[in-house]
Amino acid sequence: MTDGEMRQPLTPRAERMFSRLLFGGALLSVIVFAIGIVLALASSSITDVSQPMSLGSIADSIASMNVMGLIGCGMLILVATPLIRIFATILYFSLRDRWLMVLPVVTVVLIMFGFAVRM
Amino acid sequence: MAVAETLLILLLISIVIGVVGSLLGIGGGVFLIPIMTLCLGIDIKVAAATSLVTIIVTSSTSAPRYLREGLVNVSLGMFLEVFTVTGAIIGAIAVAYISQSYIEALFGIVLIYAAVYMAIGMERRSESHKALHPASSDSRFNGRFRDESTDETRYYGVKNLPRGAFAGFIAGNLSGLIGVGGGVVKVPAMHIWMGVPVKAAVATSNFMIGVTAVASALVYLANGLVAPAITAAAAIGIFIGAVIGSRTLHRITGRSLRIMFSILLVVISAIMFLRAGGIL
Repeated sequence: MTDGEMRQPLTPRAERMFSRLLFGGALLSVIVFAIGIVLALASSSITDVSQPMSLGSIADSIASMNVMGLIGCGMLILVATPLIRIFATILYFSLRDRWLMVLPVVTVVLIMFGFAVRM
Repeated sequence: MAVAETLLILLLISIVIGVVGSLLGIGGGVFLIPIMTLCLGIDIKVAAATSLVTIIVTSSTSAPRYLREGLVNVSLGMFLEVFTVTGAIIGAIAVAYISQSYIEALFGIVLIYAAVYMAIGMERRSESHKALHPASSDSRFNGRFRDESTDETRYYGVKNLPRGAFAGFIAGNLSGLIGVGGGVVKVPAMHIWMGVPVKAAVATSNFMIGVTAVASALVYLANGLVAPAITAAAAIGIFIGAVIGSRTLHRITGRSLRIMFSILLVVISAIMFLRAGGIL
């Protein structure tokens, strides 16, 4: 098996693009989390660290632009990061390899189905 | 314990888990969940939800470096993601109907088998990965990477796709059922069954676990089980740890990595048996 016999699915440029997308999403969410935690501690907004929030209350907090909304915003950025990566791979492989494009399409359909079932 | 103190402890613990997770291709949920429930008194479902969200951090922080280093087998990762996501969704839905202790005991047995096999049984076979691998079932999944620890380019073919898909499904199932990333199943399966060198298996697992975790995390989010404060603190720690871990992998030999992974599997299986027995 040699380089000539091997077909790499991603070009080096695409590898860099996907790398930046994933790392950028994680970094952005962590920055938002850090600001949110500092502000929450400074304003004594957290009384119970393990208090869970529903999606609705996270959305309400974001809409009212309070400190917990900022943390919720970081969480949504984080959850969106792998999803955006999947959509980016669909776009990328739609131009290069239709067979490989099918895989992320099926994955995203399954994720949406799972979310819809539990909602 | 005061709020700031709890968050600081969680952040520091998460740094260590981030390093281990990044190095071994796991999300770290198997450590984070028992620590959160035992040391910080956090409800297990909230701990599992937090763990799933932080697994996305491990994956999104470590995978970029492995992608740039050419360690990730993207085609194989995307193929297995279909099965891990299917398993994760079924697991997250089935969690209400299956005995948790039964799953944990079974998981423990599988991990002990994988630990022994990785440490001893694979020694001779892994050496053969340095040479050309026998013809693969589908050349689309063949891979190569530059191993900096041995300064050589390693080529490998991927075999046993159906078995790998099955392992992916089981890994996803565990993710949905107990809030882990599933790397503890995916890495040995890719290495032992599919013939993927351990470094490439770790990198590919890191690439995949974010997607597996997001499938389960969305279900937990929809059920209102995610606690933002502890998730934020754990995510910051995991991020720092994963950055450190991903910069270390290329310096470690495949043999050291296999031994580390075997020890990890034994520790996790012990945790699983203790949980199954109701001790943890």
